[in-house]
Amino acid sequence: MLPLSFAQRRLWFLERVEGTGATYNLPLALRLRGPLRVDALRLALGDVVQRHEPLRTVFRERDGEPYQDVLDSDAGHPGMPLVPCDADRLDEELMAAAAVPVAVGNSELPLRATLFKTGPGDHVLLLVVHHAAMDGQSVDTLLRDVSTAYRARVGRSSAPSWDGLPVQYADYTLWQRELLGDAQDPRSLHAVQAAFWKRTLAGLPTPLPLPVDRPRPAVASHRGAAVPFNCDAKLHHALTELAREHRCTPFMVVHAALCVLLTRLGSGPDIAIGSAVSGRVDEALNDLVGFFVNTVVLRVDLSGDPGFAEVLRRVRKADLDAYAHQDLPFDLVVETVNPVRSLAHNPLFQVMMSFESDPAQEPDFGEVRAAVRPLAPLPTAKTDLTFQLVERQRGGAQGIEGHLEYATDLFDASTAESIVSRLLTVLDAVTTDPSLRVSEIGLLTEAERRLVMEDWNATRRELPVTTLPEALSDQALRTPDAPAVIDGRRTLTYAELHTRADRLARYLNDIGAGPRTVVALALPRSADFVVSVLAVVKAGCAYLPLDPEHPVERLAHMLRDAQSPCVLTDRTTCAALPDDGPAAVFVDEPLPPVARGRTTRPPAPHDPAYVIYTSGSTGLPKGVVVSHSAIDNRLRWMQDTFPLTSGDRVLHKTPCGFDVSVWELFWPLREGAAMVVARPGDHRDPARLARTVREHGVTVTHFVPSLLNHFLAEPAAAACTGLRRVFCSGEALSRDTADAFHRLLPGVALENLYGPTEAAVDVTWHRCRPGERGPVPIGKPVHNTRVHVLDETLRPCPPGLPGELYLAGAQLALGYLGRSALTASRFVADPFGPPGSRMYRTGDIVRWRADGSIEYLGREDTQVKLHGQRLELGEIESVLGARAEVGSVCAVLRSDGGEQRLVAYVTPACGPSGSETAGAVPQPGRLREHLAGRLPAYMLPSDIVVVDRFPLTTNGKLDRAALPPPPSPGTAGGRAPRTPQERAVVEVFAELLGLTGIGVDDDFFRAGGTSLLAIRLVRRLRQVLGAEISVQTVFRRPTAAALARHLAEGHAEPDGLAPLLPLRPQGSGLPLFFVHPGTGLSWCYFRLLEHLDCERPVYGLQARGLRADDDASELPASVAEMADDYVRRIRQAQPTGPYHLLGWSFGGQVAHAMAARLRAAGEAVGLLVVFDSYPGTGDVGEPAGQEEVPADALHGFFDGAHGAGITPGVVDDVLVGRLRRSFAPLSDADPRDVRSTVGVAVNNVRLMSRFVPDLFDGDLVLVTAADGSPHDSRPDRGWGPHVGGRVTVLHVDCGHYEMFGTAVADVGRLLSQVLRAPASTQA
Amino acid sequence: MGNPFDDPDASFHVLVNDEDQHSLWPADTPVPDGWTAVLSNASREACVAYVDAHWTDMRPRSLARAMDTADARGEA
Repeated sequence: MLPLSFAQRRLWFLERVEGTGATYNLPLALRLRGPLRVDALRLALGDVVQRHEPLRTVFRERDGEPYQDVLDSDAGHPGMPLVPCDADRLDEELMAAAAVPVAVGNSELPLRATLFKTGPGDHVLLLVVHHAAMDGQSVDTLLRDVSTAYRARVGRSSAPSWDGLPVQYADYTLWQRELLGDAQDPRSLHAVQAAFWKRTLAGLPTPLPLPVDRPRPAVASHRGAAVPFNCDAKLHHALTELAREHRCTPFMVVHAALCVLLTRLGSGPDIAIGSAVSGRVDEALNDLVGFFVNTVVLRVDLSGDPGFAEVLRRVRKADLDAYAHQDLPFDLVVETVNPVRSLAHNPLFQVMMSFESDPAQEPDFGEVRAAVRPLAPLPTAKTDLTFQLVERQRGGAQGIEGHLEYATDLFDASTAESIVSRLLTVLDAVTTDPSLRVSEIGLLTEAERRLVMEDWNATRRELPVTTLPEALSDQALRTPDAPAVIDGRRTLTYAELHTRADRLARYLNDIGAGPRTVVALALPRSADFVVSVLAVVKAGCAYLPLDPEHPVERLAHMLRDAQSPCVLTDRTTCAALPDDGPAAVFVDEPLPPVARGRTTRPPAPHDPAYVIYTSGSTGLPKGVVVSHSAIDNRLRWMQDTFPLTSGDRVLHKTPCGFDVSVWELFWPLREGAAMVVARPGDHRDPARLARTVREHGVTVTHFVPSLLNHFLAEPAAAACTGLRRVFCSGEALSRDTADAFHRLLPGVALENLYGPTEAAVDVTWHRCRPGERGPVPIGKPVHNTRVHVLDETLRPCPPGLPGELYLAGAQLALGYLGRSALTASRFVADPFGPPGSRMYRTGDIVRWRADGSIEYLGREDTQVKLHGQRLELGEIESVLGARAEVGSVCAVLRSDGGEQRLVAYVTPACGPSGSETAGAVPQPGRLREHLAGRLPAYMLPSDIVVVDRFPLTTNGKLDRAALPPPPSPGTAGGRAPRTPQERAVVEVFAELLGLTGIGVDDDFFRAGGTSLLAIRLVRRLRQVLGAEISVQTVFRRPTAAALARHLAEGHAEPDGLAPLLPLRPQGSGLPLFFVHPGTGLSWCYFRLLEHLDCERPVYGLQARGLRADDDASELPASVAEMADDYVRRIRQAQPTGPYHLLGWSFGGQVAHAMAARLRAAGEAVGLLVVFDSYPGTGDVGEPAGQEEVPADALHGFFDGAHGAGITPGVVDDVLVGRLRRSFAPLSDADPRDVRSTVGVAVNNVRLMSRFVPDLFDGDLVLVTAADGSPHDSRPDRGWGPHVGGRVTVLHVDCGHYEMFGTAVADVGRLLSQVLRAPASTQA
Repeated sequence: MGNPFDDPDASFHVLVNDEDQHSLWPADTPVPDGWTAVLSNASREACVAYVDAHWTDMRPRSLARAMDTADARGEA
């Protein structure tokens, strides 16, 4: 057995795992103009296939090991159908034909040739070769040899007399193994190079973070597209010069630029890409067509912000080192380095760059002018990003052309285009100044700079500068009698509110408080609280809200830190305050008499208005000091954008320690609207909130998204129809929550706001509209506010690239109270604003969207690393959140007990009662399956915990720290099998891995399983359990427990091409056996089941050879042979008679033959029904040549529609495509199986034409269709001589092909009658 | 992605503007207009200590002056 080369083996394996695709097709089109001799071209192709063994080598498999089978040149001739084609449809036809997969692992020839004729003397030869048989460097050889052979065939009418090749690919295959030597021998090339790669690629970040548009799916689809790459001659020249100066190749310069770009696009400083090396290590291999090319991984360290010249030096070293170790095939490198395997991405690298030189001269076809016709790239993607570049250097640097192929799973075209244009920008910059550091290379174009710095930040608005007390007092003068504060049954008018507040303000001034003083408030939410806040700001002081629910130590810290001279409180609440705090002023008692103090100046716009403490990562909360002008700007923007009127009622429900409460308090009171005060504690009780909203006619309110989820789940929420507008902020608002909101409260505006306390509550805004998709953006900046998305060097990020969000403008806080160093490190100099201005860095990672709004991507710290893999928790959350039964989701990386575990928490969906999601409880097992189908294995949580609801902080945000620990994994790892399936799977694991003590939760791959072992695992499970599972399933469910569950749930892959198709395996009574029509498939009978008035089991016999894997030589040579085979099959399902046989069209003939055989064997035949089927005459001519497909064979696939545009002929790619589109059973079929199915049909037509029935000693029921027999007009339609009993003829008024289509109900009714009372129909 | 202000090993300046507001600043980034370095190329730690020692009245200078004047008048 001739083994596969290592490279071939990799492709063979990929095809086993991922199925046959066009990913590894190498298409090549040659335009031939002039008097082409088609016969000579066909012979010339044969000559070339004869010369180059790989072109007639098929892969076969023995005991799980693939081997090469070099066919002799007759069997290996590829054929070359001639296809007429309109010139304007040529591109389309070429694309379609080039995209039809070539299967290597299936005894299929690796070369397909099609000759398109677009006009007289105008042809295009399309060769599609599988990569396993050829590489890019073989193309010149192939074309040269085809042209040489053609000229010989035309000129001398004989085969070319070329020199024999000194070696063949098979020699190389064996020689490669010899060269590498024994991996176990430390001196072997294998061992030496393996050690190099192990060292070089250790700890590679996987997958490389790329600026993707979409999360990575669990299984890469390999669908792709391409955008062009064009580097002009000038830049090409410059980079060639740069290369020369640094003793590099142009490839290295482009490689270095790519590394720089990827680093700058967020990939980090550790960049590995894949690149091809020719692999033709001996001159003798140069004239061979074959797959020699190898892939090497080029890993470059860009840390330390090196200059470009230094980057080039590092790239040169990395590349040369890699080339020096290029003999070890990539597949073995992967095996050696052993990274975590995933179907989601390529191992070791996800970005590739190939660099080729000009192709050779056009081939010489004598009188015929030949030119290589460029083909559009195939819609496939080998990996995430692949640069395929060709250096034009005939006569100096002429430019670099090519394209960037990208995975459409991940990228949009616009992103791929921007990657190309930025790569050119980098090249331009570094060729101009190679001393530029990585961080100094500007990626932003001037137009983009204008967009992000100016156009999207054009928020300037001249606003009067006022203070809170001014604006509030003005409003009170305008509407003194209007209701201002509604607290339960108590209502304060504006006049009452201000009178009370003024009295308290006066008192505060009298005791010495004024501007520069921070007055603390510790009061439950109430009208008294509102009066007190108003009083503090009217006294010119800044107010410091203390949430009485906070721990006393925290309150003590705030009071000390703010140096409050007094705290406004009441007799009840003061118990929650520290004993050693400042003097208490009881607002629920008459104020003590005090001497009239000095006159205090009113607050100025830049005076502090409030101090709100926020949690710091360092532990102690820090006080954010916000000025009147900052909050004034915020409130004016709000009123400008969402005007409140006197009829509005704004709910005040946010705990006072959270800055959302600031606008809840002041916005309505500035605008003459009324504030409805929710009772203390109600902010945690959605039902009571809903009641308050309804009872008091609240029109505007705010929810933190977590609380909004709870609220939407509340049955009473739907009745809150008085609401006009709901604001969200404080957490990322998920699309699911927004959608749920729009469903429940259509017509109510939902506004997503974003902002830190450090910038006066909110700085960006987005209105959520029903029907929007994707993440909810945080929107665009508010008035007089600039937002910057900056990279690590504080330069603006182009749209689409993640960066940290910085805020500048009117709303910035003054700083952190008493924390100058902290203030100086968070409120920093703004290089983009007016001289001397500051900006605040948020720590939030965001990016600009193309529409100028900002998308929140997470905190700097939500991207976590688990087992060396980077993952974004939000991605897991959004996939889980997509399940109907799931309400909210939170994924966290826990480290209980030292070991890191990824845990997902979910709450049940709480749709309105009566809705479909109500009552459905999330099942961790189901959710895990759901995740497994969508996320790479490394992103799967180890635990999914269902909780009733999430713990919330007092501000209504999710309290991650309070989530319960997941149940201990306990005995996991060594858990013994509990079911027979589990035991069987564990035993197979143990057998294949050579291990003992495997537990049901042990991961096959972590325990040492390799991809190849996975294939053997699948085969062993088939033998042991008789279960069909795919290799993909093993990847997704790599533990014995998961595989056994998969099997137990009946997930065995459905097999539509089974020889005995169980149409309805259950039922009582003897089964009905239907024989397939000419297509060989019995799917048509599925539709009959619902019209059959009986409960009997129903089986469909299907032809052999439907599957491409099946041996074509197994196709039966006669109906008799087929009938023998089918009788054997049904006797396995039903050992003794009476048998009930039915068949449509060709199937009727076979059923008759089976019936005759069963009778001859002494078995009873209870029923024989044939549908529009007639005995043949045996004298219909043979279909034409081998390659021709008779029309009859095709009609069956198209319901007999002659107008389907099918010209009988060869099974070309176009036909395969049409069959898949038109014939449902084939729509999902592998194209190879489509081809073999057509082969079955062709054979059946041949059998039908020769069929002469025997005598069946029994009764026959014939159901005719309208067009009847084409051959016979006798009442029994010619069956009489072949039937010993009676022939009953029934009729359905429909066409032949409609019987099991549109007329299936009529057929079913008729058949039900026959089955109920067969005797009565035999009149 | 690391923030340039949080790198404990990087070199920083302390900048001051006309309002006497202080800002930490990465030493390898050009100093923005309207700001002057009062401490250059120092460790993060040294810069933090400098700010703590020198920026004791965090009110913007113009505001502080206006407030002090107004307060003085109020007392008079």
